[in-house]
Amino acid sequence: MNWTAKGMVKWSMAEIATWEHALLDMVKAQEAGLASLSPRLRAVRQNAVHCFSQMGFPARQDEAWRWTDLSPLREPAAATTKPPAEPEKMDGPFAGLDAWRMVFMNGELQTDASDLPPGVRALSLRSALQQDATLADQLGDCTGSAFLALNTALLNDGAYIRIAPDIQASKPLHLVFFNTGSAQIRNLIVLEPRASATLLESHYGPAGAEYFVNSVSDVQLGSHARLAHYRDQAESQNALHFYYLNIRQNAHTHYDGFTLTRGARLSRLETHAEIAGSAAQCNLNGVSILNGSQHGDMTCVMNHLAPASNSRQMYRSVLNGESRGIFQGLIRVAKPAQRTDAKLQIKAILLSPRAVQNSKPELEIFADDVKCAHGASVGQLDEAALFYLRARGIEAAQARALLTAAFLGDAVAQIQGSDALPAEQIQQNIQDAIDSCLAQTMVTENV
Amino acid sequence: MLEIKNLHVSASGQEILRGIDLVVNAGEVHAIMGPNGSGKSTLSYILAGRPGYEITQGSIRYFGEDLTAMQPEMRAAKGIFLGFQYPVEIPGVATMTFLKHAINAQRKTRGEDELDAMGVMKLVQREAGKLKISADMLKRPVNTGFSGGEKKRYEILQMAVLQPRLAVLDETDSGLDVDALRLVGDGVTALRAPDRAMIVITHYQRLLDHIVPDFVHVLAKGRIQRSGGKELAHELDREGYGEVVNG
Repeated sequence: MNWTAKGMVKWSMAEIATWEHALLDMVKAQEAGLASLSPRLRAVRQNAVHCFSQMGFPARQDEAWRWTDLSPLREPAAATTKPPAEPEKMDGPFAGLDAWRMVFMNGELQTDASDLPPGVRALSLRSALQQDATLADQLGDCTGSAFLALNTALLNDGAYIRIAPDIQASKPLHLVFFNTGSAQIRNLIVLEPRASATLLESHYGPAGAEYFVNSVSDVQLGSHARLAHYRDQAESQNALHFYYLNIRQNAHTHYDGFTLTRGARLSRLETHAEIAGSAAQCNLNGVSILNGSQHGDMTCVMNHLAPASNSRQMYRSVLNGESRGIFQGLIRVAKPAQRTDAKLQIKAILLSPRAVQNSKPELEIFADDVKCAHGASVGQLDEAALFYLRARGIEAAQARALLTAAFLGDAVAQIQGSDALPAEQIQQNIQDAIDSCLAQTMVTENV
Repeated sequence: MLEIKNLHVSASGQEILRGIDLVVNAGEVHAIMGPNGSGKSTLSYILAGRPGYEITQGSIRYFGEDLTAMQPEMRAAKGIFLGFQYPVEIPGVATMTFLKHAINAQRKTRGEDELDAMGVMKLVQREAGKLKISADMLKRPVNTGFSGGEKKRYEILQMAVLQPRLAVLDETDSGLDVDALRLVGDGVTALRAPDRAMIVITHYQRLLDHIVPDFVHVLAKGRIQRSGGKELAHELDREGYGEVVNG
């Protein structure tokens, strides 16, 4: 295997060899356990092993990774799988909602969704691949991302969701990912033309557990399909969480996404949205609350390929302690994508002098009739507002929490909801989760 | 209630108050008048505990305790209320949420039971009616999109629901038209009580037609230059500050 590809400079040969061995061992171990693996899937995985070997993990010389150091992956714990325990009780913004729920432990399905109506399929990806071997072909492309390649090489299980044409899923589908050890999770979400669905994801693990989770979700929206997709990343404070989200939208589709990032020691949400049809709407919003030595990376490529589509992105972050937030957002408007209307706004507040935010909004525009706007700011809480609240008897920590929640609320207010999950309800649930997270974060605030 | 002795205060290395002496007893209303830049607002901020000011000399005692050692929220809990000259707009924080936090923070510090949302709502609506503050205003975020007059009425509303022992009103009349001035003046006068003191800071005498003070002090160049009864305010209005300060 050739490990000398560019971008690998910072990894020593021994470290790479460790990963290579671990990877091949894992692939082999799974092969044995997956006797029914189709030749198609086997080919896809082998190709991915090759892809990964060619790329290796990115180093910071790589522009897309300049602010995120992957050295925590060098630690052996990250590459080993720990035996699963029972899933812990879940809390967070989606816990109390009436939903079709699938529970995964370390990426393997534990509990199926029950009582699914006709037209709504939600099953483990492993079962889906057994039923239809051709699905493997949709999982094969792993160019451009080592994490995508790694995920595909070790492709094992995840969720497969398919909504038939014209079907409106009447309840949210809730994917619960409980992690105690390392996992590669793969989800495939397909909405056929004019279908609509609400997809929720909870990612969490036992407090303090060390693990490495690498998830990939492929979202495909047929024309006029609508997906509301909300994520709560509340992994253990020692976890490494990587998530590669691939969205492909056809004409007249509507995607409304929101991610609450509050867990993991090192996390990266890398979103690639490809707007391939006209008159589509893509909303990607998010809130990050980072504390201690957490590192949270949001990287997003919004790719407008077709005319007259809109994209809206609003991100709000609050950073405390020595945490570090990264936002890299690229809006690309291809030549045929005339009359594109794209907005990207990133705002961060630093609560501690040692917290750092790096924001890099970028535009690449090849069409000549477009409306594109981007902006980024990093600041502190308004001292005058803080004093006003304190002068009314509100304790400093609570006053800061109130102001911070209000600041983050701008992004929460963008959530559009769906027929199955009204905006007011999901906004309230997420705001409540933010408030309780802030109550903990603010305790350690140093004035 | 309040005893200020030889108070010297600096901000950004510049001395603003240069030896203030003032005693305020329960039930009294003191007006502090003075030209721009005389240190009136600094005095109000010092009493409320705004960061950024340094007390270089002197003392402030409030019910016998050292006020300067207390955080702003503790002062509020102990009954000090500052009516801001420029109330701060806080988008994203709902007025009722803010009032609920404020009322309960103070009740909690005093060891009283907290009010629920209903209790807060009832209390606020009762006082809002008197100040002609609409239900719509209460639905908006704190001070956000309020006119100057609305902001000042909203300050008095807060004072009414928080029931302070010492209210410091900093230029509550600025930006008010005649009708709003009467509304605010009547609102404040209604809150006069034997166990409550007020310090009314103003540039003009007109507010004092509505809130009739027991004492008037003229603050200029960081010191109280003259003190007297309510007639001093009229004299100032007639003669201007120049006469009083320099003459």
